[in-house]
Amino acid sequence: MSKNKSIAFVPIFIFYLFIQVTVFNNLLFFQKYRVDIYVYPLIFFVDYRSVTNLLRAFFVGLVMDIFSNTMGVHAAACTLVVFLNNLLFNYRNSGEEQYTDPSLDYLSMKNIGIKKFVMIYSFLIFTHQSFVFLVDNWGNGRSVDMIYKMIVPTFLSFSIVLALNLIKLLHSNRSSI
Amino acid sequence: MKGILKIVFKYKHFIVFVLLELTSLKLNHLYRTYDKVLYNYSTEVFSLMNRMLLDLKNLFIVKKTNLALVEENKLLRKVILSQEMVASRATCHDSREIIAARVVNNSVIYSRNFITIDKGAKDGVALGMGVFCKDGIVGKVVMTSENFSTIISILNTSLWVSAEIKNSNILGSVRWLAGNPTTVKLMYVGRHLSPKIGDEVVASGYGDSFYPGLPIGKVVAVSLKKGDSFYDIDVELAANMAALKYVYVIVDNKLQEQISLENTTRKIYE
Repeated sequence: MSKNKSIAFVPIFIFYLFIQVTVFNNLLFFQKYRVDIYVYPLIFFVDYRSVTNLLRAFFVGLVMDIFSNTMGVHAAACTLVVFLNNLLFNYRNSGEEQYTDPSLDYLSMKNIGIKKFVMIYSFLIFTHQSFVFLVDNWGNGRSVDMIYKMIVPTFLSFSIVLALNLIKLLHSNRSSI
Repeated sequence: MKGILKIVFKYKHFIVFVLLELTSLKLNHLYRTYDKVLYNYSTEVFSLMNRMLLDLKNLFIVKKTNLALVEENKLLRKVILSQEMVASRATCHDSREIIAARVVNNSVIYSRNFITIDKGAKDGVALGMGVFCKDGIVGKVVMTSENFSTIISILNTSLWVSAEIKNSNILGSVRWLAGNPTTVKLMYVGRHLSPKIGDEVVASGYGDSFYPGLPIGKVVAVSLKKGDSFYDIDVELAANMAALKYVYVIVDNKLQEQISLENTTRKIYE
């Protein structure tokens, strides 16, 4: 992803953060589970050539920490997710002629297919949730609660991401017809 | 040198990743240990951002009406509490004031939840002061900056509140053990006592952060395992912690003196 593209997507990150802090931070499912939609653009825009994406993830996480009173937890989780996303990307493309297809900059359902989409997104969203609640719950015990806190928000967040992508895919199919 | 630079460049992603992770975890550690420098700066910046967000939200609701109602409520609450104090067994000193504050940030999903309010040292808020809402206890002040304060929520596994069952001599401590954000545990109630479902749990007044009799919640489950010395009591919180908008801080000018005296005594005898 070029520098210009990276800058062009800053409003998208801000938009998702805004939606997160104004809507999803106040919307608790079963009174204790929250959807973390702001992770979606971090996974979606792959920037494997530079370290910009890691720094961007760190700052996005830090902003989220500001609005959650969790200083550093979301920053660490977002950085981990983006680092793993890069590793997965390099692994997936290790056999091919590298980084020539610009569509690989965006992990949309259309670009990578439904199977890969489900695998990558569910794994990375689960990693994010697990990391946040592992760090937060460190030394507290209550493992059953923690497992629920990892699984339920992952399921909820992934469902929303999946719905967004299905709508996008249907829309693009219709417009191509 | 060239070789080192080559290695650094080759593994730049990994090195940056490790550095960012360490920075994040260090920040989290400092925040958890209430590092004063970090807190003073971060609380001020965080709260300003949160207040801006809240102001944006308030564009869509009638803010002025809300504030007027809060002020009126504050006065009424003061009258009720002073009447309760006269009736209560504890002889509370009369140096306490109640100030209303707006919640600018709140969380309930973590195991260590905090609340930020828009009143700080400038308004007389200081460490250890009790905070409650119209329904019951909310938490205690842990940090203050000039204009904002951070409250350790009752939904924080580190907070213990001295409590009693209303109209009985059953004393205990209330603590949240993470999990369900609507129920806490009433601990250390001995097996020779007889707590019942439906009993009202209130602040005991020990520790002096809260008025004695301030509601905490209602007993919803009582169990006693064979061989245990204490009951396992679930208390449903009176306050809806996820929907806090305004809270009241018990500003007590003598509290700092009391805390400092107790700390000195502890240091001498430990």
